[in-house]
Amino acid sequence: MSTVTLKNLSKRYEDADSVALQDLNIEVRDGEFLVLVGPSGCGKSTALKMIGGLESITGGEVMIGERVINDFASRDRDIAMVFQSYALYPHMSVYDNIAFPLQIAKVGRAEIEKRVKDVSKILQLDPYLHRRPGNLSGGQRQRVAMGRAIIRRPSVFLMDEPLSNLDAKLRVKMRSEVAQIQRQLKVTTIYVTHDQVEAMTMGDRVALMRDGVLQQIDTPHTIYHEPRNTFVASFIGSPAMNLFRARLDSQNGELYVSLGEQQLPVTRLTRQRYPGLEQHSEGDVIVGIRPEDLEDAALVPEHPLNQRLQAPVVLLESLGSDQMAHVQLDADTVTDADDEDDTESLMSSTAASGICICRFAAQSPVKAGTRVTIAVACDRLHFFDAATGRALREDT
Amino acid sequence: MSSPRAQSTLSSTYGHLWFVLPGFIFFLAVMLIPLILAVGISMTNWTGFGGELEFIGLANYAELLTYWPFYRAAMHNAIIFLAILVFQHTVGLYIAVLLNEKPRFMQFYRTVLFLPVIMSLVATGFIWTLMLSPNIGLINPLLKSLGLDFLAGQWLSDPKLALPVIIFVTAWNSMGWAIIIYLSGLQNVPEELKQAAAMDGANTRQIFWRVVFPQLSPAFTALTVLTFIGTFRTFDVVYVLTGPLGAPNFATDVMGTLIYRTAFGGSSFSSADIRFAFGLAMALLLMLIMAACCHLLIRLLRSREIEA
Repeated sequence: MSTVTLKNLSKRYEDADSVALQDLNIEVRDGEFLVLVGPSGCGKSTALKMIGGLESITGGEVMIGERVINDFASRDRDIAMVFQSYALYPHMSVYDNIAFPLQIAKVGRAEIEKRVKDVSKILQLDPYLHRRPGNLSGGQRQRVAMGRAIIRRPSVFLMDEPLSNLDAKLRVKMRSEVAQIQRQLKVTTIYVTHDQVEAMTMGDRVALMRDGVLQQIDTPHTIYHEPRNTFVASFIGSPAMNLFRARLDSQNGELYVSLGEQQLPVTRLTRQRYPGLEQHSEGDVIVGIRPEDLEDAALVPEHPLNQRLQAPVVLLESLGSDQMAHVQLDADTVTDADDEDDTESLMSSTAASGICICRFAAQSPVKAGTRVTIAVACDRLHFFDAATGRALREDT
Repeated sequence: MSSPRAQSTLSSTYGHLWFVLPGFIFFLAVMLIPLILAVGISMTNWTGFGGELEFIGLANYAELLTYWPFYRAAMHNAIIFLAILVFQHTVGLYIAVLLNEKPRFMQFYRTVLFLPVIMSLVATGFIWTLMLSPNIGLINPLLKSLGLDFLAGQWLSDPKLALPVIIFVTAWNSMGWAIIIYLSGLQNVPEELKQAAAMDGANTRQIFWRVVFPQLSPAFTALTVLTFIGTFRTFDVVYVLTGPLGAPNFATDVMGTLIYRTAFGGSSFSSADIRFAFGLAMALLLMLIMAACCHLLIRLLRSREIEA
């Protein structure tokens, strides 16, 4: 069984003030595809290298199955890794690159040939076996790197942003190929990326990290629909979730959220999803609205009249399938300091902005510079603590 | 209204040559014209003195083919080349690998090891002459005090020892180059390549020989060609340590000293032995042979190199 368990895994560099990784606790199940995602510098690659034995461990434990492997050399961990740069041996042919781990392990020539053939068939590399990596395209090199990893049949795969050097179109294709191969082989895989689309589409579970701290680990669906804090809410999803500072008011047992002069009701469903709202019924909160939960009211005439906002359209971006309307609301936008300069405070308010992005259907007749009525899916509003940024759920 | 003047085809095709002109004039003055003159003079019997000279065609070159000292000197150069080559690709590489592990005081080691390269060969040669002297030198007493009396010798006057001493001093002097070239080669090997090999199950030795060493082939080529050129141009070390005659009994005579002696005269030669044109022919032939060898070497070694 090859589960991978990280227990309080920590990393502190001697010459750095802050910790690169702090008490990371993750259990990757046997055969699971776990994606570690986060902005650059969040510690995801460090964690991966520590699992692979390429980076020393300053605290905690890494276990594969029941064995603690902290002190094992990389070659004794039974792990294969695909690097961002592919790290192919430029002086060897594709065949030798793929066969290298077996040659090192002194596997018989006939067996090596058979296994290289099998692997090259899976990865469609047959015609290129005698070429050097320098004569291959990016996608082919990526496949060779995969081949070198899978030929050894390791208990764990580590992948460090393996698709980030490919162009956008090829990346989409390789994304599904990598996921498919992993499912075929059923090898426990830890995949690092900074691309949230990759994380959402490939992983069985997604672990989102920030500044060396795990923010949330869940299925893609849960992490998208039930973000644990404003960072998770704004990192996952493109365009990001709109976050505003708002006031919660209680009238006759009903809750209302005020965005400037305009009010939206907090529906029963939302109150069930965010039971913590009851304690904030007369106070400031952060409200989150996904762009797809905002539609041009002209297209949904049956939408309840009290679940609408009015705002001028500042900018309109047409994507063909739908259009992104940037509207100006009379509210304070909350931006969760990401990898921008402002890292001192968890959250900073840009009072001037108030820009809200709505995903309108392509049929919407809206024009930039006009005023639009927006239908808000109030059942799908998100609420976070104004001070800590945590979701207002019981468990947080 | 005047339209902008159209660029002539001539200036658009060859206009850039104006930028090359200053460099070309300099090259013409100090390289090309003297070379053509030298080729001309090498086909005469000019001694270097007076105005008497006669065109003798390729007679000097023909004589060289059977001129024994030319082969003897070339042989000594070849021995020095091979010995230095082996030394640089073993000791030089080994030290570079050690330095690449970033030991403490690395800057200090690197400076000390590179120091001989920047020092004048004449100066270091002179110091070595003093150290190796059987009368006042340091080396023999040092060997004696270590109980290695049997190793003490007449370093520069023993025909069997003189060439190895020349090789040793040249090796010591040029090792800095080997270290620096290999070190830069080692630093260019991507860390991820070594990490990938480690993940693939390779141990340190396998990582070096199977992954790192093949990446050093550009350094190997550069160093081999530089060593070839450097050792066939050897002159100052021999001149200072064993004199223009390549003493003892021409045991250390190299092309540099032979050409010098033939063209300008050695200490024990009378001016009657000076044959400037013959010396020129020797130098030109050597240049041709070296150029051809370098070309072959580079072609041979480049074919093994890898495209990134």
